[in-house]
Amino acid sequence: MATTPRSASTERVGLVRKGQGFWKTLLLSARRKPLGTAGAVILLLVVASAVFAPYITPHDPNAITTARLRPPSAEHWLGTDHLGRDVFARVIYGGRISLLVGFLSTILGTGAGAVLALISAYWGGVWDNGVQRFMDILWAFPSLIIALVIVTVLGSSTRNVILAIAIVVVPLAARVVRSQVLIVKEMEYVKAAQALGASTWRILFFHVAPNCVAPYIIVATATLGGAIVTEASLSFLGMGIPPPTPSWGRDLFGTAANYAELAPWIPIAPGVALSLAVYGFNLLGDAVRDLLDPRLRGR
Amino acid sequence: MHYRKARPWLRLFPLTALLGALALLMACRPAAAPTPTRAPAATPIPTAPAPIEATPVIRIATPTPTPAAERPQYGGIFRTHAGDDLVHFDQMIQTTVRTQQRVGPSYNRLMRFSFFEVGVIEPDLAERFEVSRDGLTYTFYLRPGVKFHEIPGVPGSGTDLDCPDVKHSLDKYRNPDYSKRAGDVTAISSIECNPAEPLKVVIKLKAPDAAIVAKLSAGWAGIIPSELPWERMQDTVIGTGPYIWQGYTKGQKSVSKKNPNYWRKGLPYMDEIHNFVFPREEVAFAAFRAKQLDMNSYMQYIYPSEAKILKEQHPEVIVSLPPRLWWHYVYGNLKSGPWSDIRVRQAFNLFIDRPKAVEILGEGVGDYGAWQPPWTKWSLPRSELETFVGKKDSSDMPARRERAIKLLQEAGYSTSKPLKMVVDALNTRESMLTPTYMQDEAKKLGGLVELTLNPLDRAAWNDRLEKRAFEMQGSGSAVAPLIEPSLFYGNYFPCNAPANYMGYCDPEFDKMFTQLLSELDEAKRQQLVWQMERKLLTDLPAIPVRWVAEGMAWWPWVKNFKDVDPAYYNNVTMEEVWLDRTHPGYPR
Repeated sequence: MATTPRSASTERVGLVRKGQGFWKTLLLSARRKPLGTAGAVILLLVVASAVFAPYITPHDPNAITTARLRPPSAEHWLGTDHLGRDVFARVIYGGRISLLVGFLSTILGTGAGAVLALISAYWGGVWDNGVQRFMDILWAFPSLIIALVIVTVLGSSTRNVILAIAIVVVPLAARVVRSQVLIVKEMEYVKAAQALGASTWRILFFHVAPNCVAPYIIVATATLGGAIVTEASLSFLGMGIPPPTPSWGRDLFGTAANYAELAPWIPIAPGVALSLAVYGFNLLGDAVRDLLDPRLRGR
Repeated sequence: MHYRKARPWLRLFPLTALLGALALLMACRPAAAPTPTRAPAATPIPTAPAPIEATPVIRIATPTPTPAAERPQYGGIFRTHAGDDLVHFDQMIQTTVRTQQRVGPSYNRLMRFSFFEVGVIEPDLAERFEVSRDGLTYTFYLRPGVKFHEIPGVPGSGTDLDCPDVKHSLDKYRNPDYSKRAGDVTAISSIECNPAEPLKVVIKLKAPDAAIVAKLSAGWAGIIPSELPWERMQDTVIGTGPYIWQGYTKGQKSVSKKNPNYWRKGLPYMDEIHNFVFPREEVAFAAFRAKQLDMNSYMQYIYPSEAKILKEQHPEVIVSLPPRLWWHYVYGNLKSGPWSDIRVRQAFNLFIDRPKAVEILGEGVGDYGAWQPPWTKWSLPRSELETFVGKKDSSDMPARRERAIKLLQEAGYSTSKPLKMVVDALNTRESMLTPTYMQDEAKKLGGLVELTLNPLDRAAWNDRLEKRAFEMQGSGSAVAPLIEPSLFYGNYFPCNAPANYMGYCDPEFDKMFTQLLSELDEAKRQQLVWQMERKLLTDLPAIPVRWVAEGMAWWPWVKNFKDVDPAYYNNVTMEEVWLDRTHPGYPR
């Protein structure tokens, strides 16, 4: 067998180089991209606090108590809200929902968009035209409006919010991955695989898809922050995660606004958490893009 | 061109700025003293007199004259708000106070509640009335020369008020298909007019009704021209009131202009009323504080927390926070599902900690009880009431929860097969409180009950309500115009009551209700009301949660307004109110 296109593609991705271990590569990348590292650390903290929430705070985020509007103290690190619920507990438990919605909707949306793009761009012709015109239609509407319509029709639940945001994400992933597929499918190793009689599916998933991973990862990381903000926006409009499930968006924009003056910690805490998470995703996304984009590599 | 590459740490600026802002805010917060949980106790707030307990006083005289302490000024635009958008303008169907506050200035009633004295009824379109000896016939004599508003293209525009107009209006009031208030006036058997005497209205009752005049004086009993089809009230506002409806822009405001031919000469004072739409209360509150509103809604939205801010930062603002005839309750669909099982209803009644609800949801203001205002003689004696709704100090709550658990287990529910219910909730600040609280209370039953909230906007919520398409309603809320016991039942519990969404129908209760309407002896009425309270607290078609106290606030240049209406529905024509535009704080 001649040189395998896969090994070539791995080098092209550029994360783990030949003869260089994963951890060493990671360390090198971290040193080259300190902001991306900062983003990763922020996200690590956010994810860890969400995952280990029950071990971090003894308070139930939904427990309504008479300790209303208490300022930050040793007992309630970020104070309590108008229903006497611990704000810190709501922030870290809220991270679970925000991250869950962000990750799942991004994976679903970008995954669906990438698969659609892969197939339509490789086959081209009517299929490609049809899929791309559908993407045009989806893109013609503001993403929040589409998400709102979907949640209105399906009803507001965590599952439906994930689905709504995922649908919104599909066109972006589809466009970016398609452009890469159009380049890759003209590469010599693809032509070689075709000449050797490899099946279409084999070529698609073993030769084309791995070489489209870089733009896919860039889109996915860039979309994560946006997905979290969309969830927060839906919650702001009362169409997001149903109460009393803690959610940064709902806790930031909902009743909190009524008490912003008397108890500013109520909106500030989820606001900071939301900003940090989105900021972290953006920093990491930028760094991943820089590392994976051959034009930016080494800068 | 050479650009200097930015230092990487500079790109961390947003993060550091965010953290810095947080640290600054935390550092600037008031020192250690914890925020009191009962805000109103710490800051005394001026309140209007408490609602009267007895049947209202009916003054058969001219309306109360304007207090002459200050010389009224004409002109100005009165700016207020009434919450979120309207679905339509028919205040007998869309019974929310939001409708009433917007369309109210366009209507008059036969009689009306005084704008200055609590519980006093005085003439409005009727100059006087007579009651037959048997209490079954009321004859009202209409004021001559009253004309309906001139609105081109609207049926009845500019016509004279006469008996057929009153008959047309009151027939709608008592028709359950066109009025959610029909349960108030079931005693009326007919309304008769004599063409020879067009200003005489004869109202005949099936049985005496001690509160019939009060019910005809309620804010929603407005008189419309007989030419206007009832259905048109949803898109048209025409009456004889002090302000003429100009229109409503969804999402923005309603506008009413002074009626130059108002039958009360010299009134109204103001040129226009602009009633803005503010779906978010905090935005309205901010607009009020910025003097963009003269009154922060003449209905509600001032809670103890807002009152505290006003008291501290705008001491000149007049704040009123009296108890209201407004109660919050929850209920399910009795026709099907878990709510049809009495054990489930009993469990709900037992596990909701009401005193804590007043403490948390009412910000320490308000009360709890059954279906009659708990501070009145109509409410069951406290000791007996507490056996149904819990003790004031919540000391019986552990035992009540135990009983609730047993009842649910008897009904076949367990932790592996919990009672699951979807609770519809109107997605506003006030309306989300009770269902959220109930959901949390249910969790204290060790996983036996799982409630899922379904927050809906007003249109969707209404739609599911009207179609009885809900399993449970968490945003039950009702207001009575005055303390008359029949008004706390009439629209909700008799078999054919228009707002009996739960589907309760008990012949024994209906019989007692009919008796209550015709019983004029106060002592006997009280005994009867107590029986009805016990009946409802035993059958539990709905679960009462708390009685609300919410307030209103207005700037000192709003003159001649008194918060005397415990219901928000009656004091809405604003005809006596004027703006002191010479006031130093008046926004120019």
